[in-house]
Amino acid sequence: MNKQQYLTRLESLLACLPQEMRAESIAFYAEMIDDRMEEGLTEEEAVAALETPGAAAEAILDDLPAVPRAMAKTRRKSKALLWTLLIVGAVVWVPLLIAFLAVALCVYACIWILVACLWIVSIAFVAAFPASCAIAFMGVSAGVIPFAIAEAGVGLVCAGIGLAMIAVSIGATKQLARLSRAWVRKMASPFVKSRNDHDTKPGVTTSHAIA
Amino acid sequence: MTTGKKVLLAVAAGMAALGIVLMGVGFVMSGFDSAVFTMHVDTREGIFVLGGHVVENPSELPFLGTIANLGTIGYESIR
Repeated sequence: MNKQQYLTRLESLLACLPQEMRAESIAFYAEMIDDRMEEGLTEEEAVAALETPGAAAEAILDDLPAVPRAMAKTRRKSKALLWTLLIVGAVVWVPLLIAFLAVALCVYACIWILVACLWIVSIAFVAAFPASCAIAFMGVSAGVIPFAIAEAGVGLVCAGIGLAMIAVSIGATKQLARLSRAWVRKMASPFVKSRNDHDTKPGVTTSHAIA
Repeated sequence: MTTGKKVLLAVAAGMAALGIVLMGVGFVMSGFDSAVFTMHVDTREGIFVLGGHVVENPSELPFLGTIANLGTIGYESIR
């Protein structure tokens, strides 16, 4: 089998994929064959060094996220079957999708509400300081000095707690921002392939990828 | 831990420590009366109590005269 035959066969097996994704995979395998030919192999030897088009196509499909993979494999069997399942199964998958999105959104909102709560409490503690100073000033004006001193102390304690909480809130915000990003990636993983997964091509062993 | 955070925490600890000292001083000066941490304003009755002491002529004092028109406010920093 020569390069053109290999790529044509692979392309026909990947017909269930979108044009852009298919072209990307074909270009990748064409480049792999070219690389081997540059190393001194003949065209047939370079093709033979790769896995069969069927195995390569299967690996490419297996590397897709769950939802596109299921759709591609069903589409490969029959477009009619795919549309039938999509329409008939809508009573199941649409509510499930809505519930999935609602849960994902709620958890994401909870993460940022937690951040907001931390900052609100921190700022409230700090804001208690000027309020306590004002009350202490009232105490001084009224001649109740112990009250004024005690209130000034309460204000300082609140300000101290508030400043410490701001330091904690800064760190917590960074951690929770990372958590929210991880959550978004996790929720998107059944639908979208993450960037890190694009480093190596499916169906290609590490040694092939390095080569 | 960054220098900024260390400074922030040091300032926070210093303020909290100074605050606790001042609270203690106020508590001692009041004769160990926990009411020193309380404030009660009742504009309907015209009663203003700061740290357990009823204020005479509160309308002549700054702030107290202003808040006299706000209604009844109960405030206790520490119970």
